[in-house]
Amino acid sequence: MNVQDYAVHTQGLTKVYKDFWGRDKVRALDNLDLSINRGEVFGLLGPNGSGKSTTIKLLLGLIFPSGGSAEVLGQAAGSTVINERIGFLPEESYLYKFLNGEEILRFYGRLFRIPRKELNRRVPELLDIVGLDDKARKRKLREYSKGMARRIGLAQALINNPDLILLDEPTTGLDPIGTREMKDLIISLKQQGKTVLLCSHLLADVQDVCDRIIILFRGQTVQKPAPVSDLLQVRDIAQIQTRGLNPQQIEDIKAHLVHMGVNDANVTHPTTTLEDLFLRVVRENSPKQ
Amino acid sequence: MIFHAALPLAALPMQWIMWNLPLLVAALIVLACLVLYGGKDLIRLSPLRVRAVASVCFHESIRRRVLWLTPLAILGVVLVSQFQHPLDEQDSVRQATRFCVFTAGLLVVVATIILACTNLPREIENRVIYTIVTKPISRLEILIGKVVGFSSVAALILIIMGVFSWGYLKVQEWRLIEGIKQQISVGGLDAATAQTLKYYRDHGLLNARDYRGALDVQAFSAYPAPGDKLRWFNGGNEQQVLVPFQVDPGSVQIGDGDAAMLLAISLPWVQQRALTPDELQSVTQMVESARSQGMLPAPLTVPGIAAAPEQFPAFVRVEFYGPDMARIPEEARAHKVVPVMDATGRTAVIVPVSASYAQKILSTGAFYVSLLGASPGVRYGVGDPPVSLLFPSNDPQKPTVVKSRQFNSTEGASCMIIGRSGQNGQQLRGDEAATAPVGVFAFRKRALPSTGTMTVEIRSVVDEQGVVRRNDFALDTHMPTVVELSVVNRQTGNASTWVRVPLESRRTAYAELPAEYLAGGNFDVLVRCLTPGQWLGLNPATLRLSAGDGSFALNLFKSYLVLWLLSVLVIMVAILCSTFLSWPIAVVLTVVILLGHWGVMQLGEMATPGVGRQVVNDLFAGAAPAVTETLTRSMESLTSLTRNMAAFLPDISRFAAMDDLSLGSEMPWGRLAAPLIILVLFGLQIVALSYVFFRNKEVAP
Repeated sequence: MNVQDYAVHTQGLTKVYKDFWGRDKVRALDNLDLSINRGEVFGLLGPNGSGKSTTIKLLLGLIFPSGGSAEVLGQAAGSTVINERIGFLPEESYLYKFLNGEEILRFYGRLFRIPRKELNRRVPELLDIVGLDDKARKRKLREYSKGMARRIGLAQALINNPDLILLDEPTTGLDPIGTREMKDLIISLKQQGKTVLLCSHLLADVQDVCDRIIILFRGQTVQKPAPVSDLLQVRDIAQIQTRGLNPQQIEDIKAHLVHMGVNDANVTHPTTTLEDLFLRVVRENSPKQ
Repeated sequence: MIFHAALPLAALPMQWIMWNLPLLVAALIVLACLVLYGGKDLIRLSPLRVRAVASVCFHESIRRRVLWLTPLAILGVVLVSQFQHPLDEQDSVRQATRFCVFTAGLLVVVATIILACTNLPREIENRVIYTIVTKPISRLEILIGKVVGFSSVAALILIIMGVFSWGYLKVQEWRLIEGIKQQISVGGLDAATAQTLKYYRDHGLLNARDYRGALDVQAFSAYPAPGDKLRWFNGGNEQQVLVPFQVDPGSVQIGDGDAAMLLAISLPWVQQRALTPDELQSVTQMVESARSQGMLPAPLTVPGIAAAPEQFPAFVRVEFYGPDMARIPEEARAHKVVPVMDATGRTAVIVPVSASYAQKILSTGAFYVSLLGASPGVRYGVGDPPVSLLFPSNDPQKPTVVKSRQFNSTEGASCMIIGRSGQNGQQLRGDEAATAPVGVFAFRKRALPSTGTMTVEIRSVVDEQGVVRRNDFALDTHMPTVVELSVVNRQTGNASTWVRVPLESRRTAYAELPAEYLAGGNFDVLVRCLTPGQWLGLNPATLRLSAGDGSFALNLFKSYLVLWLLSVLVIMVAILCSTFLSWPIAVVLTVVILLGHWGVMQLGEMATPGVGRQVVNDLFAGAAPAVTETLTRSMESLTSLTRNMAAFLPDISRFAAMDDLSLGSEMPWGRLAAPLIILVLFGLQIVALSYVFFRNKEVAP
């Protein structure tokens, strides 16, 4: 596959932070080789200080590499031109707090030279997508809750209808509904053919939406890029799921399995996730529209 | 940075380019480098993105309540105005004008320094920059956007301050004029005050006049009568003639000994009146001194026959001045006061100058020979240049003769006659009309209306410590000063009648002269003081002609425009500093860059070559020669470094916003050329440097 065909391609990407005298202080990223295909959702995993944010900063040109190379959408990372096709949601919403939701989106829209007419259409649409109501969009950002700030941050990342979206801890600060909506949005973006680079340490989120992941630890690659399904599959355990069995039928199945020589079979009722339970309860109790 | 930018914009062409060539070349190199280094960003430069960043900077500044400073500043102006001690009503308004402009300038400079120095470091610190630089906006657009945004804030501050200033000054003017009307109606004013107050009442106090100044001013014993080829100056140490020379030391042979260079002085003179006993005594001393030096023969005495009353020659004091009009230190044996025997001036007086003194004089390149009329009651005539220099040549019979050069300011004149020097320029003695010396203000190529009358403003400092020759005036009696003005057309030779003006020291007086004598633009305005015992201070700015009234509001606008240009320069420098420094250090460096050139200029002689040796000699007189030499070299290197660094910094004294307003004169549009040129040439380099720093800066902390 040609380098041009990847959404992101790095080779030996290294970042060493230096002190005042130019001596090496921290090797934040060491020899990262990474290729992200167009149209996939890719997860960048690792504990704090593993080099996830450094990688994103390098790809965006916020910092410059000490070694190696990085291409984004076929061009050198940090290129102003390629930023036309990139959307970025930082780990916290670093925005001008004195503007309101609409103003901030219009400001970023003007940086993309989006015509006023187009902005008049796109701004309300984006605010609807991220779930900010009319009242919220007129409030100053300094008055926003953390969740609202994440939503407006996401909206600014999508203002240019980007091909590649870099999301740094996208679900931080969101409630379960917001988290689910964010995950649904990521899946929707993937369905639209966009590439998403997701950087998170909330593993459940990554598991739900990512096609492939990489795991970094102290700047080193400890798990090379691979599909999530391959990595999580437990090959020597089989699972059968069905509905409406009575206790007698369960006992019969157990007896049959023993007859087949399977002595450690465990037949139980599956539990739902807390997230699913929360969403169901909230939906059931919310006033009907 | 040395800018020769006092020219109006219309006169920009070749001469200006030649003067500013080094800077232009530097600016072009910077521009070329910018194109090569950031060509792509330059091509992609989008006004829309620049405007977006500018708009955010503007709104952020407004939200930071920077405009709250303006009412505080306004309150300060109103308060300070209450404590002023003006000379008169016009001075009061002009002082208030100065307060307003100064406060607006201070406010806008402080506000822009703080805003521009803190903006970028704050955006990096709170990481808002993450969401900016990851958009398709270049760092050049971000920088330009910030300059535009903060310049808009500065403009808003200045608009608010300007509107306030105009309103406040108008109210002040109205209040003062009402007071003036009341004073006039009550009466009991002296002539000078009444005349001035009536002028204020009729013409208002907020002026923007189109003034025409004199080319130079000279002081004659009397204005030359038609056909008189001589210009006359008074003795009694009252007036002198200055003769300029420009001699290349390599082009002449300098002799040895006490007569290495000779001065040939030809000066006709006339004894005008009998001497007082005191004057006779001073002349006698000069005669005895000249005899003791062998310059005068002893008087003939025949035993048994009474000596006839002795006829004294006229004396002149000979001195040399350097190009800066500072006296070149004399040597002990140099002749100072010399007798001029021939009253017709046909026979030259030869004055020798020693070799070492001649070397010192010639090393200045351009110098002046001054002949001060030393004899009281005598007037001296000046026709052809009264002094020539003689140097030895290969033919002893034909010395090399060096003639004087021409004065630049007096239309080709080879010498200037000036009054004795006082603290406020030349001094013109007050006397009766028939014998009063005349101050001559030369106006050349001044196109002015030649119908009706022309307003003349005269403002002088009057000294009363002069010698009163008559017994009917006591020195401690304050006499009202009366001056008379006349205008002489140089082409026709016609002179107007004298117009009498009462004058008060340090206060402007006004007179109307018939404009018909100004036709052709070449004319002299004559001034004489008719109050004996008083001396009128004269300099070219003492007298001005008012060619018309401009709009004060427009003048105020121009001053604030200059302040705005200054604030844009401040913003550029502040943003440059903030691209690589934390904001407190950036503030300090910004102030240093802005004041650096001005500061070194203030040092004056303290930063000139040779100061190192002088300081070391003063402080380490007893030190070993090696130590002294090392210290001298270090000091010299330091002053040289300071000078050179200052030469690359902007000269903010060129942003003169207050000069014209405080004089009540109309600011010509061309006055904006100097600040504009500094802004373009220096600002371009600053923005380019900022771009290089910012483009290579990692904005993630």
